[in-house]
Amino acid sequence: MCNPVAIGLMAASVAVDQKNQRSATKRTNNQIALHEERNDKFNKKIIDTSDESVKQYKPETRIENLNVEQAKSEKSLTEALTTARDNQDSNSIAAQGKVSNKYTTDKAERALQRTKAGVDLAKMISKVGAPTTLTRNESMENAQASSVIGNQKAHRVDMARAGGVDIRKAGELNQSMKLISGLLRGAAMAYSGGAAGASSGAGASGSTAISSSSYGGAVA
Amino acid sequence: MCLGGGGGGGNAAGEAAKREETRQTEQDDAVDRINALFGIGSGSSAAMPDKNEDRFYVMKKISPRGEEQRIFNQALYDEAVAKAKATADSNQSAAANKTKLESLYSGVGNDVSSYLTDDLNNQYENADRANRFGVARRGVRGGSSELDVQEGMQEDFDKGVVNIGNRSTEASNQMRLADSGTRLNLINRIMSGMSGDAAIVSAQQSLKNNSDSIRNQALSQSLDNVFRDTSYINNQESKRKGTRRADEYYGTYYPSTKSYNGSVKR
Repeated sequence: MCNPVAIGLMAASVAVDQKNQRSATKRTNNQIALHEERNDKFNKKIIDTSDESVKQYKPETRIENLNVEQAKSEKSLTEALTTARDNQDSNSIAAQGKVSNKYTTDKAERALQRTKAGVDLAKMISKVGAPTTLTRNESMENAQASSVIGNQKAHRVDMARAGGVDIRKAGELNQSMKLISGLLRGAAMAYSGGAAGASSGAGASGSTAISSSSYGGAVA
Repeated sequence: MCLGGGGGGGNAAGEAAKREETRQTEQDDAVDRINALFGIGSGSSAAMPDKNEDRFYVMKKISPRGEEQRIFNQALYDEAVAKAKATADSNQSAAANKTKLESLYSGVGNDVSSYLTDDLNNQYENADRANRFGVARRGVRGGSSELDVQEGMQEDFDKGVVNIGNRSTEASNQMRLADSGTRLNLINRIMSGMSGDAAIVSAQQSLKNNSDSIRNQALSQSLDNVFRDTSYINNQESKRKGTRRADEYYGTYYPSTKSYNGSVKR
């Protein structure tokens, strides 16, 4: 083993092994960093979606949304009442026969009051119904946010699984470099001289090949 | 030579993630298509990319001494342009579908409203006729009693109109909810492996089914008797008078000798 060529070959073999190992470590670290970056991206989207959906529960937003729903319902109901009244008036049969002035005045007055009462009724019903509409809209928003969050979670899990495969693969040693290292080691043994050396060199070379394939099997 | 076949695992690093990314992009596209069909935009910006953006440039070594030059990557830019165009198309289609869906929802509401309003008007007409006869029978035509009856009728009518308004809004909302449920269900199925095209077909069928089902459900519920109270008073009054006439005719009328809270009088 004192042969300088053999020492040089052995050193070269060790250097190739080390380079191979360093490359594998570097690749693994890169994959881990990529994996973490992707994971952070999914987490950020989940948190952003959650934050966005929670905004609707801010008291001022809720009051504003409630007022909007109430106004919308009130407008729609008042319009329905007005339209129905208009149709009713055009279809109504005028009072027949002579009636007192008091009757006519009272009738007009009551019609006016009734119109006001109708509008009040629409307002009241709108006030009563608006919270239900508001919570229903909020539920729909929640369902949408939950769907997006659920999708992102599923993506994250699937990507983590794929990332795991990549990290494992990245950690595998380069087989070509392993072969070169084995050959260099074998040559070093051969150069180390003597029949015993040559014999042991052949044995070493053989053992390297076995070791290499066994390693490859373990990785697979 | 034989060295060529012994490549290390490192060369394949990132392949699984890339495949997964492609799969997830396809899933997201399918989800976007479903959302667009239900009038919901993708939420992504559809702005055309700027050629000067850093992401379209790569640094490339131009000399062995390590000098680098910033080079425009046309492929990356084209990909970004194609994506922005697809997003714009999707958002445009979502906006158009939203308009159509809103018109469908209000159409269902209007159908329910028209059907029930017809019913209400018929009921009003019948009750009004009965009340006019009732008022005339009692001889209180042109008096405050007639106005009371009319006022009661009008109150019932207004309640009926408000009830119809609520029911028509409810029908529209039910359909909105059903569509939202269908959309979320389809998205779940896409995430579980359903193909985007199959989901679109299913979505279109579900949209139609939801519309028919909600419309039929709403129309199957009638308005009930809106003027029950007003008519009841009139009917009771007529019945009481008829019974009294019959009693007097057959000599079976025995008026109470005691006053009953002052309300029963001969």
